[in-house]
Amino acid sequence: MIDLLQNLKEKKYILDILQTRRKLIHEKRKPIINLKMKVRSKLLVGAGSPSPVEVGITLSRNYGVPVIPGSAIKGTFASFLYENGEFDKFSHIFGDEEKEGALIFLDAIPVSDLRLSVDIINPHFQPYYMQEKSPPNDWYDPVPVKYIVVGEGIFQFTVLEDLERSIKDSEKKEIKERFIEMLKVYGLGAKTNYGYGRFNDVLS
Amino acid sequence: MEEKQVFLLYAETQVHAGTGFETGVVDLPIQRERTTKFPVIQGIKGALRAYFRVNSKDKGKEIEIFGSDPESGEETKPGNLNFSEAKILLFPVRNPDKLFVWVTCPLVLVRFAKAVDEEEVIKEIEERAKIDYDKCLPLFDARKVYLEEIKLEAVDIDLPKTRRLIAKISRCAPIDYLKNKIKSDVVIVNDTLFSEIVQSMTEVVPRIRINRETKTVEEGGLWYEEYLPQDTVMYFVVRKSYYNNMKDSLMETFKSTVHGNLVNIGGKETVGKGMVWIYAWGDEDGDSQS
Repeated sequence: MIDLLQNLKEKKYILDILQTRRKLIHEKRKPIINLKMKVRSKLLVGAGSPSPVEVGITLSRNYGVPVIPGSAIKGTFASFLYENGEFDKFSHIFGDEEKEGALIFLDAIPVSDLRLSVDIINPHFQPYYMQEKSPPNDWYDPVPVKYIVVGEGIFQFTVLEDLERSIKDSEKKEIKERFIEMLKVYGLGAKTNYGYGRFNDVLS
Repeated sequence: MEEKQVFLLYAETQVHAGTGFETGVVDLPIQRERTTKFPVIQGIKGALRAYFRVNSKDKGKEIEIFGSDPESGEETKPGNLNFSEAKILLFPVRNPDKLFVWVTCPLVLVRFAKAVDEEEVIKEIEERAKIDYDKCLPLFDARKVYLEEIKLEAVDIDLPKTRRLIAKISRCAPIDYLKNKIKSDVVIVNDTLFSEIVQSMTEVVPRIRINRETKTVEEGGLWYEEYLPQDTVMYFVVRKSYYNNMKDSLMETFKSTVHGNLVNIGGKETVGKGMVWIYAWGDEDGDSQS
C-alpha cells in the first residue's frame, strides 16, 4: 500500500492540471473566498465511501487525488455557525427549501505537498464489540484496520458568489473570517475529535 | 449567417441534470434518452437564459432570443432561437495507462457529424467503423485497452476524417493539456457497450444529512445522487426559428455572450456542481497542427 501511495509524488502534473483549471474559474467568477490552507495533522474525508479497505476516502473520479467535496465544506460550515449560535444571521447564504443559497462551495483541491499516509485503528477487544456476550479481556488478538488518510497537503478552498444574489462587502469579510476559523479550529471530515481535519495558514 | 450553430459543453465540475426522485438504487438519477440510455440534458435553454440575463443585462435582447417572460402579464412572444437538448459526445472513463480516456461510439459520432454537416465523416464511420462488442478502436497505439475493469482488444482501423473531427472537438477543453489529451486519448467502442458504460460508470455519490443535536445521520438522511463526471463533453444545437424575421444578429449576440464562458447547468449549484465551459463550433485558425 505504501509503495502505491508513494507513486503519487511522480504525478505532480495532476495537481498542476487541477490548479490551472481552478485559476480559470477564478478569472471568470471572482471568488469571495480564495484560500490555500495546509493540513495540520491528518485529513480524512469520505470515510464511509465504498472502498477496498474498510475505511474509504473521497478521491477525484478522473484524477485519483483526494478532494474535499463542496457539499462537505458547506455542511460543515453550516454546522460550525449553528454551534456558535450564528446560523440565523447567515442562513441566507445556505438557502432552504424555498430559496437557493447565495454562496457556491467548490470542491477543495490539493495544490501541492500532497502526501498520503496509512493510518491504523487497532481494536483489542473485537469479539466484545461485536457481540455482547464476550467479556472484554486480554486474550483476544488485536485486529488492525488500516486505511488511507491525507498526511500532508495544501488545499485550495474556493467559495463563489451566486451571480444573481449579491452579498455586502462587510458581510463577505465576516464570512471569510468565520470560514478560516472553521478550518483552523472546528475541522473538516472524519475523526475531528482526534485532531484530524484542522488546517494552518500557508506561510509564504 | 448560418441557420444553425453547434455548441460544445465541457464539464468543469460534475453535472446533475436530474429527473427527480426515483425508486431505483440511485435516488436522484440523471436524465437519459429513453431508447439508448445515453445521458442528455433537457433544460439547457433555461440555464442559458439565466446566464444571458445576468451577463448581458439587455432585457430586450433576452426576450427576443428566448421569448417573453410568462409572468410579465403581457402578450407572450416565442423566442427567435430554438435550443436542442444537450447530447453526449465524449464520456470520460478511468484507465490505468492514461489516467482516464474518453469513450464514444459510432452512433454518437454519426449524430454529431450530422449536426455539424460533416458528411464525409458519416460515410467513413458507416463504411469502416465496425467494432465488435468485445473490441475497441483507440486513437492511440495499444493492443489492449482497459475501461475501468473491462478489458478490450484493440482493432486497427484507420479513420483519418474522424480523427480530424475529434481534433477539432478538442478545442472545447479549457486548458492545453486537456486539448492535447482529447486528440489522442479517445476510444471508440460498440454502440451497445457504450450504452452500458454510460449507465454503469457515471459518478454515484452518497450524500448524508447529519442531525445537529445527535451528530449522527438522520433517519432517511442518506441518499444517492448520480452525476455526469467532470470532463464529460456534450453538444447542443441552436437554430433560427421559423418565425425569425431576419434578425441575424441575435445568433451572434447569443454566441458572443456564451462562447468561452463558464455556465451553470443542472442542479446542486451551491455545492459547486454543473459548471460547464461553452464553446461555439466553427472554423478558427490553429487547426493546422492536427
